[in-house]
Amino acid sequence: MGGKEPSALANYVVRRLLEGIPVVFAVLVLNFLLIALYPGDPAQILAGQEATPQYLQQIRIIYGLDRPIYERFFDYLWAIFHGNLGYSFFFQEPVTSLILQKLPATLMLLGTAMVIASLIGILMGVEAARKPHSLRDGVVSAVSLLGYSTPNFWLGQLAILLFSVNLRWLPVAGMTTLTQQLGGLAYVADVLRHLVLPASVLGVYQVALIAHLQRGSMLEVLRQNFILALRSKGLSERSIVYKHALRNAILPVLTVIAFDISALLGGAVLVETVFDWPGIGRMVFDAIIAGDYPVITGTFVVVSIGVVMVNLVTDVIYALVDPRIHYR
Amino acid sequence: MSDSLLDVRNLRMYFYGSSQVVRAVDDVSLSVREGEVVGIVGESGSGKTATALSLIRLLPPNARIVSGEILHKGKNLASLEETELRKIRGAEISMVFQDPMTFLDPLMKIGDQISESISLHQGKTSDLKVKVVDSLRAVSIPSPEKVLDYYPHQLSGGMKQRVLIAIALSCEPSLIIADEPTTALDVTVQGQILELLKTLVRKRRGLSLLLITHDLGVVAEMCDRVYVMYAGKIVEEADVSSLFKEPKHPYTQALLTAANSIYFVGREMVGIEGVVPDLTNPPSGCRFHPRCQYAMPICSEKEPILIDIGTSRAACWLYPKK
Repeated sequence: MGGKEPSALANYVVRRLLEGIPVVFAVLVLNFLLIALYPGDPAQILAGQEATPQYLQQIRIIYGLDRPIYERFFDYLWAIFHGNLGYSFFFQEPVTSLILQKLPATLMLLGTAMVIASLIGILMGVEAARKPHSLRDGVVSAVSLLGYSTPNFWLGQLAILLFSVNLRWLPVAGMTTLTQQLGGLAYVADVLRHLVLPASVLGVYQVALIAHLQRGSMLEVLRQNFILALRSKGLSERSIVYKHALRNAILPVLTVIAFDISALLGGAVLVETVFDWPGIGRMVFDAIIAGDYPVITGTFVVVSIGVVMVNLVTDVIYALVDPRIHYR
Repeated sequence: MSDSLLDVRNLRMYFYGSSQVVRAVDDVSLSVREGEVVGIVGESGSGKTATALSLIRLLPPNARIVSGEILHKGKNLASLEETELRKIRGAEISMVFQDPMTFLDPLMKIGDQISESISLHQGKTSDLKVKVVDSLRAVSIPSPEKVLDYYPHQLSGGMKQRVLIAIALSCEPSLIIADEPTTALDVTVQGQILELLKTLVRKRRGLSLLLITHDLGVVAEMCDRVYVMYAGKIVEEADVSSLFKEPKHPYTQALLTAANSIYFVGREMVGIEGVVPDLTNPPSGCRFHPRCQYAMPICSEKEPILIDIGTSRAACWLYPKK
């Protein structure tokens, strides 16, 4: 069965991809209905209170509002398949190009926060579980509880006060220093300096959550029989924990990490706003204030597809870590 | 007992609970000679497994070896540094466990689980894969080259137990401790595994087996010598034929009667009245006296010690000291 393994995995990936299609479709339907069933006459809103009936009719024809709802839905699907997410009245730009401009900054912020928080959280959880009810475990639990219950917009403001205003170690906000023209490595270093605070603030909750979960799942695995068998082979505690137990204990944590990326996007709206980080979150915040619906719904579509993709990637990682999954 | 491979003297191992102490292994002495199959038999809760795990100190954090010596090839395992002990575990003394389903890492290929042991104790040599295949072949696993790439869930219970035995054998240990190696298997497979263990001990020079079981049938089939354990203590030691022909200790006699009542059709099932005592507060004197049909006043007052009775040794007041 050694040679059969890659194709079994490939089958599994294709199957999971196909399962993602209805999910994305459902998201699109929901998104469309959200706009179509919004109370009030959109033509009236666009034209204003003073508009004549002829002008209203003209607007309905321009925007296709006179046609039946299913035709409008297919138009909408057609547009999305061609990468057209609408036009932003507030930013005066197509939503697609807006999102493409803002996405890299958000991905950098989320990615940095997620990767570092996962590593720290997993390490903390594992080390706590190795000696349950020890001082080390107590410290991890306390830090975890604290991080879990601290709102990140508040933590962000405190961090700015301490590290930027008082200590002057790090920049207050933004992604680059606007007053200087930097190139090459100096530019990268400048962006990284700006990244430290928002990424840390965004990551605190994740560290807390992941450490807590990893501890629980690790404790569970360390109680299992095969751990005793590994000890009887003469393996050191460290290789038992990091080579065998962690691989077994990490699956539920991975699920939560993936699940939490969508929650993290919510957190990003707040953190990007506090730190004036030029990403999707900041843009959505501005769009909400301005009532710019195409931007909000466009972002919704992109984020939903993103979440579906993340879940797919997680499932594949799952299958790679645990061979029992794709063999079924 | 200079020819002993393993010599355990007055071993005590206690579990420390939050408010009480469980004296799971209480003054146990036993020995295993080179090439010998020694059984430890007793009911659940008699301290058999606790004794087995104490020998290579595979103990949970709340357990402690309180006193005694575990002598193996000139080293006292009871007081050896953990790092030194790790060189003995899996290399000199290895273990086979009760439930093969749960004693393999579910996420690691069979081949890797075996080579892990070999490379740990013998280094990563170029013939590592050959050694792995050889150890699978030694436990009669069909097409070992293919099984290398299997994960545990792709094997049956019997095959998994063979793999665990292959792991235990892979570094050519001098002693294998098998803790109820067949209890979790189908009856038809049990016989095969026992046969395999027996053949291995016969074929490999210098290999001894310490077999922990509650099954007197397994003892009769496999062992040269037997220790009978009750409530954390050894109550009788005998070679296997003496044990079955002339059991000395009333507990051994009761065990045999109970076992015979199961094996022979038509006999009424007989058990031993009462239960294994609570080891946080064991009975005074002889620990078996509350369940013993021959109990005398002295039995609850003074603890009997093991004395020679013919070819056997038993700890019982029925046999006066010569």
